[in-house]
Amino acid sequence: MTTTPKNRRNLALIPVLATLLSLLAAAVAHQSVVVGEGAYRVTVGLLNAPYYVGQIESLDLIIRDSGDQLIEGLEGSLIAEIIAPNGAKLSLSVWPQSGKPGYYTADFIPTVAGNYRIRVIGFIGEVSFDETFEHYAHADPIIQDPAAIRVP
Amino acid sequence: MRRSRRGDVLRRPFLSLVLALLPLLGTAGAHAYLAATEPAADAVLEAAPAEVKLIFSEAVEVAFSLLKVYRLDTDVDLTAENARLRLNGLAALLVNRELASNEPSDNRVDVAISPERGTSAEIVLTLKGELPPGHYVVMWRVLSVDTHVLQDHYVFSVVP
Repeated sequence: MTTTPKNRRNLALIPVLATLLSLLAAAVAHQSVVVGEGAYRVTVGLLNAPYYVGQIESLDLIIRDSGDQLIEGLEGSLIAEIIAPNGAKLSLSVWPQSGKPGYYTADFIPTVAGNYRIRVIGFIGEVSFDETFEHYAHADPIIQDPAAIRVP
Repeated sequence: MRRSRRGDVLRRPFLSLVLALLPLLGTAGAHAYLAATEPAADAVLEAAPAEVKLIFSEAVEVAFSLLKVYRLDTDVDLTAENARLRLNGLAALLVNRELASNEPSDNRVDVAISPERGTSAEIVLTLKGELPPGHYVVMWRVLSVDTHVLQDHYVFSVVP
């Protein structure tokens, strides 16, 4: 292939696009806590932002050790509890995200707009933890009313 | 309309990638899975089994698969609150540490595999004789004949 100025310009766009894509991914917030006196980091967020009432939302739960190694196989030792703005609770089993060891998910459908909390109870080896996450998304409220984007 | 040959050159690799990924999308939901086990997951047995049998939905390549059984070094009381969650949390770490390890361990209790080579949907692991009471983890990373890698584990307990 002949290298022309136009080709070079097009090729130069590739790293720019890659950077923009990574920034978009980073814009989807997550919240982390360290458990077991620093042994593990539990990170919680939601997939598929933005989040609207009536849509299936998917938990994004990630477990790493202090060496940043992802810990897989924990689906049988983790429980996620979704706490609605009015205090209603939904307890969920989690399952592994396909092709992403150490990443777990669970689905729920929020039925009102507002800030939902996510509680995660779990056991990792000898470590047990019970943490509640409130700041896992860049939105206020986290779950939005879809009326603003509805048409007709 | 005049087509840009330079644009075609840039688009061609992306088109090839998309075409390569399309068949994968079609088969993503059809990989091998564990269809049955003896003893069953979470089983509580009065006597230790002599073997563990794993039956997959399709044949696996034995020579390219890892299957092991370990005794969990814990005395978790199954009647305690969250006992299953606690056992699974201990088992997961054991699997992360031991599944791919070549280091010998006194806690490993499988002594033979059948078949030893070839492909089979049914794998039998012979266990050491007279296993003591306790909790045991069956763990595997298998390569199925559709080239998909399947990794998982389960726990069974022996409580006389």
